[in-house]
Amino acid sequence: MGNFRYYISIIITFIKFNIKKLSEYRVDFYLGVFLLLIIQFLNLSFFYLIFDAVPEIDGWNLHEILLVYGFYTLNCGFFIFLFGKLRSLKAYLYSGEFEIMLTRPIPPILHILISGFNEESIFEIILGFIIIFYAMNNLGISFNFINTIIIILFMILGSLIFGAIAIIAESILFYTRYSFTPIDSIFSLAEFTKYPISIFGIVFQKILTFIIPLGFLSYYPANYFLNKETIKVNIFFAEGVILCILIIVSKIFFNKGLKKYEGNGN
Amino acid sequence: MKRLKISKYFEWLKMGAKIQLFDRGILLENIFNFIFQIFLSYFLWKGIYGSNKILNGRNFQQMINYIILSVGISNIFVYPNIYFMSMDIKSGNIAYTLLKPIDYQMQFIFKNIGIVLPILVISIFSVLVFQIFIFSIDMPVNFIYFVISVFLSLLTVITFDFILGMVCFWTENSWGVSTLEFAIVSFFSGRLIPLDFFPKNFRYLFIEILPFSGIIYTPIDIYQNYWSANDFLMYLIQQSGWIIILLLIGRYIFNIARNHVFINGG
Repeated sequence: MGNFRYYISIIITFIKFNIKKLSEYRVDFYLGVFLLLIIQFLNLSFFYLIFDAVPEIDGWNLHEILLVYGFYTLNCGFFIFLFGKLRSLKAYLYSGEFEIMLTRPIPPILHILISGFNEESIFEIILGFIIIFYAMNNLGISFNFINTIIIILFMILGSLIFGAIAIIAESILFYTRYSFTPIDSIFSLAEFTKYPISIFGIVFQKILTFIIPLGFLSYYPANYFLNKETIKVNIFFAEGVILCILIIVSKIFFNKGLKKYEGNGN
Repeated sequence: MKRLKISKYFEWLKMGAKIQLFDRGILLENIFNFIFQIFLSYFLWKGIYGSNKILNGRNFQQMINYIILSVGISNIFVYPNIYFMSMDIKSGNIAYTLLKPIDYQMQFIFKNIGIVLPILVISIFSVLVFQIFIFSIDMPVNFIYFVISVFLSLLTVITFDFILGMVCFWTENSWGVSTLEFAIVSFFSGRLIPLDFFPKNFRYLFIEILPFSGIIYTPIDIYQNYWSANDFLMYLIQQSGWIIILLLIGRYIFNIARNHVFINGG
């Protein structure tokens, strides 16, 4: 238990440090937010253009699609907030910074995660909430206290699932002599979840549910409110189970990879 | 003296091609992404069309042709050259290059053309495979016109990239700039959605005036429809004009940036 408290204090210190760094690079921050807004504007314009031409995509109308997209934005935002620095693992391995991380008294994975702070992701999270709110309003779903808690729960579960998948993908670096990680393909795969994954056929949907469970970023949360598809089990239970499995798998992958790294006589 | 100058450009070209071929993982991921994007767009547009037979003058088959050509062409410029330029700037390598009598912009352009060549081969290969085994794509109306237009499209992207890359002299957020470039080009070039889906007011601006339509929309239009020699000549002049403008803007901003670096003792 004392260990846990120790970790928390380290995390808090790092967050304070990163916030200080943030206020130094003001231009970067405003630029980042500006970029984020532009990209979101372009994405939403895409939907607007399509629904200008047709009333629905595979039975999903504009607001239903926006609900899916809203959850996608929300979950991606929170994922980047927590796990954004994972991408730097390759750079850390090459530069030797990873070696230094191993000498510190905190688990290396934690060190990587808090080594940087992506402030734009907070705006992405806020934007996600706004899009969901807008969509729910137009769909006649009330944005009450219980639903808000449920949305936050989906956000936490979804991002952690995405995070575990990302850790597994990045850990592959250890096995390929630091050269290859399928993380970019995973991100490409995640792009599919911008839209309801049911439009891609049952096989693909099953892949995005059971093998690389990215469907929980957007489809299943939206489905909870829209009931487009009846799921036989409690969705939170299912997500919890999948998350536990992924945590175990990612731990194994990363720790085995770590052993390999240390075994390389570093 | 003249022979020396040309061989310099050729060297940069070779340098670029080597960079691309060195990381074989990228080539594989390229094919992967190609398949992914066509898969996503196919089902998305299938859902959009639904029971509609024709949208904006295209039937579903023609739409799929548009998508495959769009993915094929855009595959050529997914190389994160802005990101690598920013690495040059951050690491200080740029100072070394600035001290030499090298035309940085020209080097950037030729290097990136070289980088594109292997991807071009793969794109053509992938499109042919699709053609034979999965979808049949119509033959181009005028192959030579199409090839020229793709080359102009490439130059447009590279000169535009250079300008946005210059922003990296003033910000650390290079990944954001790279993403912004991708979002802008994707949106205004007609990559995700043909430009004729835009509302009437914007259609003229985007298609006839801005240079981005020449990246995807116009080359595909040249591929699929008959263009008289006169029309093609007008297009050639217009697009080349834009490339020259982007080139000059790039040089201008580069000079500002270079002076900025020198003043700061960079």
